[in-house]
Amino acid sequence: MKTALSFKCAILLGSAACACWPVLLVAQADKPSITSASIQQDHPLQMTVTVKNVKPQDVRGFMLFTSSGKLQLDAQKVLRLDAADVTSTFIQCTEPDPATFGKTVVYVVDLKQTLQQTSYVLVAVLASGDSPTVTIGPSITVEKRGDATGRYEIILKSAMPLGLTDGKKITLSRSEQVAGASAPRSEAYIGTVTAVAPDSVSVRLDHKLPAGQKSTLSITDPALGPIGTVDLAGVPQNESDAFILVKTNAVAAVHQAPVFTLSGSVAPWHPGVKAVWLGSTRFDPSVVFDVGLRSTKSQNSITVPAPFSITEYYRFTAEEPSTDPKSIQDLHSSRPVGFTFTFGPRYETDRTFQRVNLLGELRGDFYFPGLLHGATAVKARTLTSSPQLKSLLIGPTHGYEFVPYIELDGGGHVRTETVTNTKTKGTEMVPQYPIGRFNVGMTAKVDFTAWFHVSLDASLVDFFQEEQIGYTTRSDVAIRKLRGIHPHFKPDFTVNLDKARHWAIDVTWENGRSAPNFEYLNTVNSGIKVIY
Amino acid sequence: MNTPEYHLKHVLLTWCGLQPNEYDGDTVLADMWNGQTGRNDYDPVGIKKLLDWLKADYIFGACQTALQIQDQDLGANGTLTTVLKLYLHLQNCGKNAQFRPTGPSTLK
Repeated sequence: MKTALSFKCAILLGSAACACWPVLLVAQADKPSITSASIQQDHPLQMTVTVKNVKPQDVRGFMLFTSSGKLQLDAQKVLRLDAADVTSTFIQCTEPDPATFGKTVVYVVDLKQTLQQTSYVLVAVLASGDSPTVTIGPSITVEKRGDATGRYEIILKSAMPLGLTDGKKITLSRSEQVAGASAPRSEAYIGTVTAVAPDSVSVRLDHKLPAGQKSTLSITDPALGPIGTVDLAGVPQNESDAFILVKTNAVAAVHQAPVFTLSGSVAPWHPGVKAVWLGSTRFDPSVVFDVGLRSTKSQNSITVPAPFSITEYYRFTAEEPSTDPKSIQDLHSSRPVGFTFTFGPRYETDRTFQRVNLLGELRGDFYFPGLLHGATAVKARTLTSSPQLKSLLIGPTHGYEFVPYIELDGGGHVRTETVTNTKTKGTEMVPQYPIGRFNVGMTAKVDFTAWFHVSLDASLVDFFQEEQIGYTTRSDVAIRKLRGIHPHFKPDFTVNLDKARHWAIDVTWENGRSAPNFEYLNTVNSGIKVIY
Repeated sequence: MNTPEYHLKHVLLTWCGLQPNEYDGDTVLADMWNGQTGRNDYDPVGIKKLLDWLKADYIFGACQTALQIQDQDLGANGTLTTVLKLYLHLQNCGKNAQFRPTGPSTLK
């Protein structure tokens, strides 16, 4: 689709050969401004210019000036920048069809020749008479590519052409000053260009940069000078990235043996940066434990739930996206309904690994937009339409999320188990038997403040087959036989102790029966919760 | 609206359900996903879905620059965190291609 913007060459070529432009000393939030201008690294004869707070047709064209960077007061005591107009030397024309994203418009300026390695001032000529400017120069910035390969893959960015192409080798130097040493120590890194995009150049280093430090790099080939700093310091993770979650509780009393409980989960590939995908299926193995010593009322279980999951989102709109490019603005947006299907083998055992259940697990979690009103999501929705509020927005701190689920487990108690009371020496034999369970329930999380939230897991389990669980009492051994429907209710009250939510005081009330031991519990546990 | 712009807006629409007038160039992709889905699973689920949609698009699916984007590039500490940054990265994909009258093949 073409816009009304046409080629702007004519008005630019007639401009004066030398001019001075007033320096913009005061910037206002809604005033038009050029936020960036840079040569495309893969097309050195094209310059991308990003202008904010304008409409596409507002920009009449662009002018280019070389600048010494010196400021002077003229006769009218106006501060001016010395500059020479090189518009006709470099600028061919502005391409039609600038891209528009809200208040941001992206223009592409065709050049007659690529820019030299010096500083320029780019001026946007607006219909309103405004003339926002931006200074572009030969400086190079460097960023780590991301968390996964940030120690050996870096991204170079520059407003000027770097002249790098795929496969080209460059030599980088990392300098550091050791305390007491007379001169900085340098280490050479050979980098290979792996990708050249319009906005950046990706470089893979031959060996890793030191972890947890800042690295100051220079390019020695070609001799472009310092390129900046890569910060490889660790980044704190939030609760949703939890890799290890541990709740611990210890109680000691006079003349009584101490009671100790430990519950939580370990999921090494749960953090996003470590996610493992097999096509569209995520592999996220975990171990969930709830164990205790002596007279504790823990579940005394270790469970390895199904590790595979597929998440899909569906949008229910009145009209399907049209194939006509013009109609994209007319489409109704809608929040999608999500569904996570978890499947795979499930392993259940007790603390002594005597009782072993091997099952297949099928589970579906349903994410309905109306039930997901968490503080983070509400904040994200505000920032979507108003990203400029990012540094100002502090709320909301309260919200709720409810996620219904169903789960089907089938398999068997695969080992004949002998349960022994070590004091009375009484024994009971638990035979092998088939297992079939259907769970329906809901998990919930309600944030009351930034420091306090309540989470809940409430469910009903229906046993298709009778399950037998051997257990010991003070004086005997018994077998618990269960079938039919049984409820389980487990609210968890959490008070965060630090802003990153790594440490918290936790109070959990558990009422009902849950896999794999299905002992009826009505307990309250309090302790410290640690999430990393 | 140029070709990569149209295709990116369409990918974002099919990805999270937002139409172009509901976000800005500086809008963070994670906010778009987390706000729309109500879940905080942009990394890794939202990123995975976005990459899938990009690869399924007939312009970006044939563009080497788009195919070289990795999960970490779109992550919180990556270099393609906003709509504008993603567009500037993809702006030369299919630039000289004509709009196909039937639209992108990925449309349902």
